[in-house]
Amino acid sequence: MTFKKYVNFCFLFGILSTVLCLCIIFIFAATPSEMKNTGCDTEERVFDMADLLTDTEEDMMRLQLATFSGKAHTDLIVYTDDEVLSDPEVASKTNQFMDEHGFGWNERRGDAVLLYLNMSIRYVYVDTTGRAKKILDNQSEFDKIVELVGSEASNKNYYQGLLAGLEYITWHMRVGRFMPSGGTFALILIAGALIFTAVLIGHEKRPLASKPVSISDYLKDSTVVDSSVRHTGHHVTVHSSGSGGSRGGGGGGGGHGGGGGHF
Amino acid sequence: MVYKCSSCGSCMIYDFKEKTLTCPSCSQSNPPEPVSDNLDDVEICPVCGGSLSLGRYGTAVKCGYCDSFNVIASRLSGEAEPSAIVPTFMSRKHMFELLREKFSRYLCIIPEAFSESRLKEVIIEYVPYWVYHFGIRASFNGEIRTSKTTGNTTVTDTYAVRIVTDLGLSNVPVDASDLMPDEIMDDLEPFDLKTALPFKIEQLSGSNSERFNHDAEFYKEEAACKASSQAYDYIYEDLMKRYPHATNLSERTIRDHTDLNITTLDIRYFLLPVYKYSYTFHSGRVLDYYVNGQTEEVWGTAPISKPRLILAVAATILLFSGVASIVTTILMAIGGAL
Repeated sequence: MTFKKYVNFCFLFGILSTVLCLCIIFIFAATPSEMKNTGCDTEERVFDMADLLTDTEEDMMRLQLATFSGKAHTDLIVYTDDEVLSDPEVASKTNQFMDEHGFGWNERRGDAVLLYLNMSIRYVYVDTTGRAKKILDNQSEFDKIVELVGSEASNKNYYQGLLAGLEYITWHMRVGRFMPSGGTFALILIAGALIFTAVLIGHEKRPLASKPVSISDYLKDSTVVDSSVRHTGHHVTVHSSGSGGSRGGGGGGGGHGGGGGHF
Repeated sequence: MVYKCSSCGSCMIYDFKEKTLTCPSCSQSNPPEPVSDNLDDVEICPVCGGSLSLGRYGTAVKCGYCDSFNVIASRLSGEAEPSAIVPTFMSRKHMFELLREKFSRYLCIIPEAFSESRLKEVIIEYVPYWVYHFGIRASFNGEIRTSKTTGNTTVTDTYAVRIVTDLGLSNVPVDASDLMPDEIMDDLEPFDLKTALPFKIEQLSGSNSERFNHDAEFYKEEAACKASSQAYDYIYEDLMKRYPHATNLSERTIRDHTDLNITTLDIRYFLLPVYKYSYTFHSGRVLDYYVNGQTEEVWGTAPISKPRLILAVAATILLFSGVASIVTTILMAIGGAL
């Protein structure tokens, strides 16, 4: 292949496939998807146990949750409470609540985020399952959600506070959904390009191989003038056959993740 | 000595195909009009009076001022007269075609490096070589272990072997020029000395040449070393033929258990043809190319263009960006992210 052909091929293939794939990814990312989880026992996503929202706000919240969930490809749930609980009890309660109902976008107990607000203890908690557990795993992210929700809730703007928290979660889920793929992309790109570049440079810098001089080039005649062979040892080994086996195993994991804080 | 054409006055060059001097301007092969060397100073061109870049051992050179091919007859007489010369029938153009073909599998070479316009920079060097003929008595005395497995049974035998072989090695060449890099000249071997012709001074007209820089004794050890290496190779191959199931034979074993008794039978002085071409980069870096004028064996590294290499690397990164995009998209689709 000539230099021109190679460069043209690389540029054409590289640019076209990158652009095409980015288009595919962006189209999919921008297209709200339908929930695939059929195992959830309720259609309700707003559980205003503390009665912090008006009926109208609850209706609006349901609509917003449906939109956000579609964009984030994540089952989003709002839960308000007025029970006086310790922090671990909140986590335990929300975990149990999510598991009982089987929330999740793609499957029962799949990708889901529950936003919990308790004004009795002034506590905001974010309970995550599935992919959300990996995407929302940073304390600074939880602190931000607590701050967004808490600042509005302190002024009794519960709807605005919860909405701000949900917007932040939605944005994070949309971006975070592609982050592991971004890592894969970078890994393949860097590893592939490095290896191929090393091969290319190695190939280009390699000198021409010369034909080694063979014996026949200089040797004109050979005569054995004396030889003797003495058999000094004979040994027979019989091998016994054996067999081998294999071992294997694996495991799995799951559960909830989450974080929160007082305001 | 400069051989001028009696018809047009141009400098004649020797044509090995026609076995005569021919004029490159008028293609005449008439007897030349020789212009003798400047006896006071052979390093002055007898045609134009310009200084010749002969160096201490130069015997043939092109004048940098009038382009006359000077052959210094006084440096080619007596013991400095070669026994024979190996002719080259390869043209400069063919040499370039050879280089182009050899480097065609390289991606980022500078195409202009072997363009027609540079043909005149190709030099035919007749390199002085001492050619040795050796008689070697090689005595191998060692233990050989053989091992043969049939089914689940392995039979191991041990032999105490002594073999004395007389080897005749002829035409072992060693270049006798300090200007020519030894390792490159070794890589260009072998030369077929059967095609050698009796030496005549006019054969050097049209090329560069040197006389030997040191006498045959100086290079004898190097020649003996080459011959020894060949002898060890022979013993190894011979023993492997005799004991194909040998498990302890290696080049190292052979060297450790073989004594060589080397006798020099004959030494002769040859001129062997090597084409040389140097490509100079804009940065001033020079790459040398050598071609065996007889066997067409090429030595040299590809003239790589840095901008082309950078572009190729950039293109490669882009290529892998495409590959990475496709793989990532597929992985995302499989993983349900899409």
